[in-house]
Amino acid sequence: MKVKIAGLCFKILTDNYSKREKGVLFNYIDSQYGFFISDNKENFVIRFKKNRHSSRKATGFSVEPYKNNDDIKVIKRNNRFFVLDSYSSDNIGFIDVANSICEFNDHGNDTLQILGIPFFRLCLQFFLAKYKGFLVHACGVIYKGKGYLFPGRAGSGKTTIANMSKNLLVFSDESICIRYVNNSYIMYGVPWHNDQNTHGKLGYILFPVKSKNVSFKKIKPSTSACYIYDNIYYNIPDSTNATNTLETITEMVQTVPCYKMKFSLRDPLWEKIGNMSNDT
Amino acid sequence: MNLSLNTRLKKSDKVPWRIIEGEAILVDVDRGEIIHLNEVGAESWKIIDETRKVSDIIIHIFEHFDVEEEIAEKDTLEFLGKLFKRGIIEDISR
Repeated sequence: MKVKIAGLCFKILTDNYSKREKGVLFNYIDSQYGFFISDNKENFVIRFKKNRHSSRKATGFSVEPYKNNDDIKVIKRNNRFFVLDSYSSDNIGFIDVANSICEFNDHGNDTLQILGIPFFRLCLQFFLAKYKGFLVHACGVIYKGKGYLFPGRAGSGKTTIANMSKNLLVFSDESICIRYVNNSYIMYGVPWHNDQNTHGKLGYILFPVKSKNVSFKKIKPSTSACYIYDNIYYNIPDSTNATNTLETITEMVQTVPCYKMKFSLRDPLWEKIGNMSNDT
Repeated sequence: MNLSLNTRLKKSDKVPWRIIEGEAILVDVDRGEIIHLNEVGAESWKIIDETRKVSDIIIHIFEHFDVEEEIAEKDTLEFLGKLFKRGIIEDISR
């Protein structure tokens, strides 16, 4: 089974799973990543490894007690990044970018439901950095054929903007992948927030600020780069990863216009954005 | 430990950085933070190259910006001191 996110395809291997266990796993993957299942050639592999001697007990939690990747820790040993559960220090698996392989330790019970999403997301982040991309907290919308990215933390207005864009193609109100592909910066939806499996060329980056009226102020590329870097997902403690991510972001903000956007619920947001786009 | 005028400095290998339009962006990987340096800070950062001492950097800033020598020394020492405390630059005097 293969899953493709942001143009990167990862193959799921289940060497030591029984036929029944494999069926359960693939059903789960299908339920989570259905729109992202692909037949493309894989860019990397995630090997699921059933740990049959684990003493891990069910916690009683159901799904997604993890709000973001900060609930997992990453430790570098040799060329591998080992991923640990922040709470229990359980070894969740490893990511080996150089050899394009990741391994997820399936301890049974609720391991996959609780840790699967943070682990998958982290794998994606590592490989995005390698393939000129990154994952950012942002809302993404297509308007008149152009992609608009609204990066921001919780409370910045991402969901409000998504709600004000009902008749438009909204990728997500929470997280967007950006990649540099064929001389363009492309926005991609990701599977974790009921997002659309779609993509579009990035035209503008607008940093939202809730206000009483609508206004746009162009901001310097250096400031924009800082804002965007500050909004990427889990900060991976690795210089190579950070160097690649910084390079992609700094090149992007010198190509894509960036504005601070004050907006209010009372004003017709997209009419104002359209006027701004026409003026620039 | 404080910096002196004779301290020789190097950039930490663990800090990726880029210059955009004269300003610098540094990533403090260990802390997961990003640091934005304005034009003067970026100019100081660029010339930290393992050979220059703090006094050389002060002179460089004095020569390149419209600032009195005394202020250049005070501000540069304070700026470099902040980077040093964060481990972004290292003392290689010895």
